[in-house]
Amino acid sequence: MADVKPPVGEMSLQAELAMLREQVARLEREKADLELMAEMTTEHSDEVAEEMEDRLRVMELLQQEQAREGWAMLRARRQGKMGYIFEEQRVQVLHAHPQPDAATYLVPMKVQQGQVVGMLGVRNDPAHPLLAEERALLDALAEQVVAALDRVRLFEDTRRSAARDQIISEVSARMRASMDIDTVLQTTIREIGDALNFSRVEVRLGEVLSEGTSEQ
Amino acid sequence: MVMEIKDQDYSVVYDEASATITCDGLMRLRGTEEYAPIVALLDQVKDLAPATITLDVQNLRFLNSSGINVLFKFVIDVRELGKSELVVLGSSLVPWQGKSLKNLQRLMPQLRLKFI
Repeated sequence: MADVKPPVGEMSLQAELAMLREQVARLEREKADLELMAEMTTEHSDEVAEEMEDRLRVMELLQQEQAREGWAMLRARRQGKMGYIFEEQRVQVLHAHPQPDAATYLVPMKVQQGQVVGMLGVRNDPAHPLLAEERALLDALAEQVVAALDRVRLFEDTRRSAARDQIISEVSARMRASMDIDTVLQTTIREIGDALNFSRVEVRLGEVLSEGTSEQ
Repeated sequence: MVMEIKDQDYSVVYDEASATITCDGLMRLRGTEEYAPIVALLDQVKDLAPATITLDVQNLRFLNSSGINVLFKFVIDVRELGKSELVVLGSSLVPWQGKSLKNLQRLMPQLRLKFI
């Protein structure tokens, strides 16, 4: 059977045209929305990425600062012991930085954040200067030394903070166990003195106005 | 009626009494599929068609691209339905909101934006 279309009147033709125009307008609006969304999504991603980068930078700075403090504390705890020197088959303590001299090849020991935390040096006889591969080997070794030192430092930090937490919890457990004020005060000073090896610890009630002045 | 989606990182809650959708936390779901429940909630709110819908994202600290797309589509849907006004509450302390929330007005110029 042939497909016979009903005759189309002028009015319905116009109605169809109007409908099509409306469809086109809607599609154009959708297209505009989609284009705008694509643009704005990109902007959003950029914005978020930038924010993340900023935070990362701040974290890196904090980490650097923390590492710097950690190394400074480590040096302070070593009470002037700078390092060691191996000479004539003997290991000796270095109490001061050796004077720089041309016959010593020095490799800076750098931690991850680029901070130089020490030097590794070998005698470099001007008559037989170090070969490039020997220098490369020393560079690689300096990296390994600093990695090992950093691990020890972090381990010590962790151990110290664990020990501190333990002291706090032990002392406070004993103080909580006491039921009267005098026992609390006495336990406090005894425990702090024992745990932290202070030769003198005191605890008082009442306000002290300023250092050196007693209560009114 | 309260509709809500809660996860460890984020929550989306609709309070019918105030016609407010509150999005909190960090939204970093992957793609359309994972956002589907949130899209469904937003769709329901749009169809309820309160006179004013408030979208409160003040405490939405992170929103990925798929997430901002969900918000864009919601704004377009509300605009197309034409039954509700839209108020968006943002925070000037959350960096991504400054630009991206203002962009919502490009999709729906009559949208009211308040930074708190």
